[in-house]
Amino acid sequence: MTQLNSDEKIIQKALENIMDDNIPDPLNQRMEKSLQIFHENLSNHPSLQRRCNNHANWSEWIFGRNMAWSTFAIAATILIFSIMLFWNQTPTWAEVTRKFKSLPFVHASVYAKSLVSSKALNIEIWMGSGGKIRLRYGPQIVFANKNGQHITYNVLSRKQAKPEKFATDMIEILNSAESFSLETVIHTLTGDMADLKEIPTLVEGVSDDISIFELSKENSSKTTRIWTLRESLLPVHLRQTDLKEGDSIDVLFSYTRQQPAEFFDAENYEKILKDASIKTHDLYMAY
Amino acid sequence: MNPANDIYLSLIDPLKESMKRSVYRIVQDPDDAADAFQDALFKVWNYLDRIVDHPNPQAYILCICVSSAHDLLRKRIRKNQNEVASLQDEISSSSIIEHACYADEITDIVKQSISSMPLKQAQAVFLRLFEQESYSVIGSALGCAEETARSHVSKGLALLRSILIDKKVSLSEVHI
Repeated sequence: MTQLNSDEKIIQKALENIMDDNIPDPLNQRMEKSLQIFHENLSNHPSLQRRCNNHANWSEWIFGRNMAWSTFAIAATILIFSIMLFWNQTPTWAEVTRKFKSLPFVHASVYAKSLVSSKALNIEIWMGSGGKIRLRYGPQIVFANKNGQHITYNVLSRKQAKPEKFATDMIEILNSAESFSLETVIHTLTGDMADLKEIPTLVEGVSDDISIFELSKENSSKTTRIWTLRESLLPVHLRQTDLKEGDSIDVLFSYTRQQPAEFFDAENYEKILKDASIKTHDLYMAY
Repeated sequence: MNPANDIYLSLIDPLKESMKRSVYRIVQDPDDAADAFQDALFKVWNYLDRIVDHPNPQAYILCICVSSAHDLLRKRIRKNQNEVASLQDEISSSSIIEHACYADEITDIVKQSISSMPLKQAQAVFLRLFEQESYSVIGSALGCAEETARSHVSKGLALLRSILIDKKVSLSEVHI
């Protein structure tokens, strides 16, 4: 919005006096009804239908298992940070679980699926130096810092938005990640760690460059497998699957670049949102 | 999260009052406004992909609303041209109702002038005056340069000003 100049104001006021914009109640009701029908049918829109179906499966998966969004967020986030345990550690499970060591930066893409054949829901998380966090979920971009302050923007409306609850939950966990142990991860995912057994495996010789670790719980259909590079010990992939239910969470890590400080700067991002020359799809990664 | 719901709650819901007003303000008739609004929603549906990828989706949606209202106003005025002319004759022959009909007459004249504007000019004027969008946003919504948007607004305002002055609407009495 920009202020009108005096000439524009004069015409605007004259038009306001001439052209009534007080919508009569019956008309308002008809318009609201049209909007309601539009809203109800929007999920049938051809370009949205595929994604809507995926989300329906996703919701069914989450809520069918009585698993709240925040619980999923906690699980996914802890999974990500549990992987950091591998950073510069020797490749034994006991050592991995002994302590948590922070990375200078990390980018993780989380993909969650309700069924083997269903499309995955995607969340992206970047962490930079100083505990700065940027998270993307759907059209929302969340910026947060170590102090727990966060600000959320909606890329579609290009305005500040109320964050999804699970996003704020995730930020909280990311901010306090040092307190987590791998046992906590497993406990969060499986609900019980009393029978937890660690089974470090160097599996099947697919590549000598890769170490694969597997965690499984007796009498459970769930397994968690982690792929790391043998020399650098960088985790590259984590997957938790439930063979019985068919759902899975995949976390992919990339180390191609450390994002600059501007990438985590919410004020800078707000300015970018106001730049009409930048297309919506370019805003997701903009800084 | 549901993408359809996301789009509705992010783009349409915060904008719906502006959408309704922009349509009604132009057509000034409840039935026509309902039709134009329906048409606008139909266009939003058809252009949804374009809207989502647009740098100023909300301004673009309002452009669609103005376009629907403008189209309908044009059709209505063309259809009723003879009736309007005869109504004006009646008004001029009756001094008693002259004062009462003056406001309606002005409204009709302004509506006619809006309908006579090129669509982009009307869209630019309404986005500027009633949504107070910047020229860069208007340009982006119209798919033209900022300077072109400025020119559209300027020409539209000049037309409206001349009509208002011609109809002896005292612009100086307007409080700003």
